[in-house]
Amino acid sequence: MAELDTSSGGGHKKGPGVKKAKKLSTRVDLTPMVDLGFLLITFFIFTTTLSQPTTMKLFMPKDDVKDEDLTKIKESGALNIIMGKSNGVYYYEGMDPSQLKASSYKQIRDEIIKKKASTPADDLFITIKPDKESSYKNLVAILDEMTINDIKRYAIDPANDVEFALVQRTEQANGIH
Amino acid sequence: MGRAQVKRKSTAIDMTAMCDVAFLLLSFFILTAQFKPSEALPVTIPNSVAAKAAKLTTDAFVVTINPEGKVFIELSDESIREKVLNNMEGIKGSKLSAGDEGAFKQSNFIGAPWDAMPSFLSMTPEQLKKTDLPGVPVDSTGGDLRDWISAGLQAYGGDMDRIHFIIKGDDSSRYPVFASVLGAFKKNNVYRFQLLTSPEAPPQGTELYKQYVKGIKQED
Repeated sequence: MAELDTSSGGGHKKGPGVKKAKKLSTRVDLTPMVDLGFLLITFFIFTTTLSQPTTMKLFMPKDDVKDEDLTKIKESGALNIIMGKSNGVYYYEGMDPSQLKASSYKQIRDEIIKKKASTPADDLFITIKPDKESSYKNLVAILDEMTINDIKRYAIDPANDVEFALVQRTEQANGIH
Repeated sequence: MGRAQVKRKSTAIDMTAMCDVAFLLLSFFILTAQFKPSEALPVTIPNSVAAKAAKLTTDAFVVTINPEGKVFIELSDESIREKVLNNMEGIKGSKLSAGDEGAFKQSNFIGAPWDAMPSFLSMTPEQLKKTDLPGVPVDSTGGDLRDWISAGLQAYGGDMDRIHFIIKGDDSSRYPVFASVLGAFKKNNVYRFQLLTSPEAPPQGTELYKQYVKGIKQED
């Protein structure tokens, strides 16, 4: 780096009594500036990569399937998850909707894992039943649980009237509006 | 015996070079970062563990569901807009004026029934933000959305592998709207979708987390 020549050469010589001005160093400690630079870099990198959206794949079946092509489910391996309003989630095992139990989006994972552990892998079938008042966020959250818990067989099937009525009754009893 | 004295070195390092590198990288990242364009349709997308990055710029046909449950179509790929519009005119059997066609190529999204397109296209971006847009009608038979999807498919010669159907739903939109959007797609024999989500790390201790730790990637 270029350094300034601060010594006065060729000028008039100072007398013996005159104090020489102290030579100040031109170097600055750049450590805090480096710190700041890297801090900003890390900040920008973390904030930019997080905003990149991702896509979740969804395959839906055809509506007009013949009866013999329908997926057959064993009653012992069936788990039905019903999504209600105000982020409510309910589930029942098998075919009997009256066995409905209330759960939450935090607890439902434990129920799925429990069911998965207690049923043979080929029998497990989860039916995702959004009702008329559930939100899109709830649907994505449950679909996400399928990926998280590595569930191979599941389907989306809107809640039927019996289930909807049961969920409504439970919601009223729990004071959810 | 005289021992050679170790010369004491200064512990201070010259930070200039490191500082140069830090700020060079900083300016590089700032300049290459793409700014999010201000969105005409504010939508909060849900979180998921899905890891596949969304391709929103090329060959994307995005169906947006806003918090009020209205449906919009975003064709971010400008090159196909003209084709889609021509196909739609063919399906509906009525043509837009030349001026409206020009406006269509410039507009970022479709947010009105076909009959109301001229007045929708005549609005400026500021007006669009203020007005309560009607959205693309979707009913039990699919409505205009069904026709737009059909027009989009025709623009790609019916090749479903080339066009990406992306559904961008708001967190708070209701399931029935989503179901009717799916219905409109099914009317066109489209059964594969991509749901737009914000990325999230797999929760610890779960099956997916174990796969993730082992390095098994999710299927695309």
